[in-house]
Amino acid sequence: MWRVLAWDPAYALESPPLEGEVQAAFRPLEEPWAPIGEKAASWPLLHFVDGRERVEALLSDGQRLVLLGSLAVGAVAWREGRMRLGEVWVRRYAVGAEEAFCLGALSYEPLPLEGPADPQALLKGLQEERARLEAELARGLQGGVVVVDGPLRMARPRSLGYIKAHWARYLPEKEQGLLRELKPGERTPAFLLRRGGREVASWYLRLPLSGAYPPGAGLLRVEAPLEGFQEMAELSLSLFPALASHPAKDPRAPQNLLPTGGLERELGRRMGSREVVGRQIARFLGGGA
Amino acid sequence: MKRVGVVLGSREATPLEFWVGVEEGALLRLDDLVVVRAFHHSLGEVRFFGAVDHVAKLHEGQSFDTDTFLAAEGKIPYSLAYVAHVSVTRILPEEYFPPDPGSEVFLAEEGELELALYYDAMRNQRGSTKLPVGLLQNGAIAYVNLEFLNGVKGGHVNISGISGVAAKTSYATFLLKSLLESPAAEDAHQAKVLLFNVKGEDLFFLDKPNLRLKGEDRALYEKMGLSPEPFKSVAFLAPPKKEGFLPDIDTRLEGVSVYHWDLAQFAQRGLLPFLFADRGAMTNLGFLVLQVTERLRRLAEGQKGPHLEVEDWKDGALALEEGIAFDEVGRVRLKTFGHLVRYLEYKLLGPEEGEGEGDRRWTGRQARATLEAFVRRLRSSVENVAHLIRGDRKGNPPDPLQGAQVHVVDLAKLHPQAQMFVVGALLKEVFEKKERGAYRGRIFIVLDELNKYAPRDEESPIKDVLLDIAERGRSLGVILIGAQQTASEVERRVVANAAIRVVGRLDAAEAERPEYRYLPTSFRQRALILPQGAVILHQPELPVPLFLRFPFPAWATKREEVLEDNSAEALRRELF
Repeated sequence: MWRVLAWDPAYALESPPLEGEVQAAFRPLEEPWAPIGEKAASWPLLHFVDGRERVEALLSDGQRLVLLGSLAVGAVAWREGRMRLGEVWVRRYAVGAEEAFCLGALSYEPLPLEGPADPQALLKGLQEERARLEAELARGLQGGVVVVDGPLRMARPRSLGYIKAHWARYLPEKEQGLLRELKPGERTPAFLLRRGGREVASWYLRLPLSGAYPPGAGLLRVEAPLEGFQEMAELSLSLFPALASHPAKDPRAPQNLLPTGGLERELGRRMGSREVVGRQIARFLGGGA
Repeated sequence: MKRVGVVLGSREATPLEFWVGVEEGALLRLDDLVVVRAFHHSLGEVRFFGAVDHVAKLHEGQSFDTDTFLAAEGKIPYSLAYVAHVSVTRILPEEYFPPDPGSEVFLAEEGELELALYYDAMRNQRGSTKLPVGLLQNGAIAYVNLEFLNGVKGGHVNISGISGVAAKTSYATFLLKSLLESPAAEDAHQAKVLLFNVKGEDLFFLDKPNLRLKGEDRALYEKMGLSPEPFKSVAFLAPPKKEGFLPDIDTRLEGVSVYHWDLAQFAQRGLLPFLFADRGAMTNLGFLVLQVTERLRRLAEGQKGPHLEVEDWKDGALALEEGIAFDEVGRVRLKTFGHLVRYLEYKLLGPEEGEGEGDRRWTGRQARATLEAFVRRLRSSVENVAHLIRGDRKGNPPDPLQGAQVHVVDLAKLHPQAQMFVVGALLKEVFEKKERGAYRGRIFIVLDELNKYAPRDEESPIKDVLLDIAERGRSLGVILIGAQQTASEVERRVVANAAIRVVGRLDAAEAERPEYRYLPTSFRQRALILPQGAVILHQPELPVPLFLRFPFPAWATKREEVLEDNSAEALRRELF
């Protein structure tokens, strides 16, 4: 099967999803293995959590490398028909450093790394910190359903994770065939997914697409805790198609959800102007970052 | 003090204008007045006062217009920006440095509102010169400096606005109310008002209470220190009907007197030029008009009127035909304006029979064509003004400097030529009396349709008088409250000399003309949609115009609005 990636390759290749090893045995959680279209009638309180990272400078003292980067994580809440921006945390880190960097108004906290500090490891360190912050923020959210971008890594009842890019394959050949038959707004039955010692329920759903797309496009894989996954699965069919983005506006459409897109824009803004930050760093660290 | 937001840093903040980000829950509207405190270590605290002239809301950071749909459906979060543009009206102390972005912005209230609008400067040695001219949007009283209205520092008012939206006349009469009653105008008891009624009979009930006046309107008057009452001392003057001596007025039956000039007054006061409103059309005619005016003045010397007596009209046959009477000593008595015209024809062109020659003392060596043109014009005016200039009854021309404080002179039904004549004759007399120092108090003249009396592109004797008033009147205590639909059609110098300019609703094309450039763009836009009872007022001391509301007239503006006095006392007066 070949297909064109609908998204901008720069986004797709930016950071491969952080997923553990794939389980060998396939175990469906629902019978029979056929498309399901049943969806929830109304939405509960929803929290969408997302984060962004930005590399601002790579520093070197001749031996060691330090990466200066910003992280912003935040949440938007859907309540009674309105999407509101909730909490937003912005942190600046000096990854691989033992001491803080204070550059005028900018202050980078140290984030020491174990092991060698090569650029890839530094970047990964920043990304892991982001994932940690996202999980921390999500834990603090009261009530409702938490929707995170990426695989579900926290043990919170009533939460949904959604995966936009499909690098790993979870279904045997026979069951995989169903993906092509899914109509927009339908999902596969849920199956068990074991990752890093945790078990979650997962299923694929197809988002509505407008315009010319190859047959396999618009797929989203969703994860939910095993407990009460049925409710989450029904909610996912009502939620994700309604919030799918439009390709004219978002290069990652339709999988990148509307509130997440809005949140990401806001997070980018909260991290401050890259030019201003760059100038500040150049001023303190002697021209050149 | 109420904080409404902060000075924006995403747009330039300058000493003369800046933008304000309005914080959630706060309200900032057009015309609201704000104050910002800025601090600089070498200057100390500097306060910037300003008026809001632009407000806007938008969803920030949305790259697509259609994102608004998603926001409204609750699919994306949005950030609502509420911003306002402030034009600075005053800086205290005057240090022109920009306020810092992020500085707190407060609504200017009470003392600070007065500073923002320069009310503190509206005083002289004798006290406050704050003249109430309406109410601001926030309900506070709007003032102008009386000294810019009564001629001390400036004078004259010019009001523009399309007809029928109750702006020009209503506002002019409201202004008069304030001028005559406000405690700031301490010599108001001496002031006189001459109002020309140019349309309908709107001004003929100035002394009657308005039955549509509601309690809240009364409260507005009282808030401004004015009484919600009609004008007390008003004389109403109307021209006579073409036949007889009854006033030509339909809706008001009592208390209207008839005005007209008699032939002797016409000649003695030199009013002939005001029958030639389009004098500019022929320069030679202008000389001739002056010559004849002068001859008439000499002729009328010592005559008591109302008729004019002439000794040298030998054209007996014609005289008989016209029914002109000869007295005992053979003198002819001119009893109508028509007679006068015939007499002038005789003096200028000679006897009717044969190619006679006119009297050289009268013709002033003008060519026969000019003389004929003069006579032709004069003859055509007989129909228009004969009832205003007559020899059969003692003249009773309006004298606004005598008697009642307010004189309403009706022009509405007169032919344009007669209107010109009345306005020209009255203005000239008033102005000359003031020049001679015959009356000490001020006189306020309200004249609508200035475009007719002082047109931009034509010459006329009335325009000369109006220019004289506009340019010298303020030092003589003659204040013109002029109005017109379109200031662009009025002589520039007449408009330019008005210290106070008022704009009611304007036509869209008119609002774009350079005459209104003193208004910022937002005010020009608003002039197109001004509601009834609202005007924009510009005064010299204040760099921004004010958007004002003024109360419903306390006096009736038409018959139906008159609050009838049905008390027993009034009925008795009526019946017995």
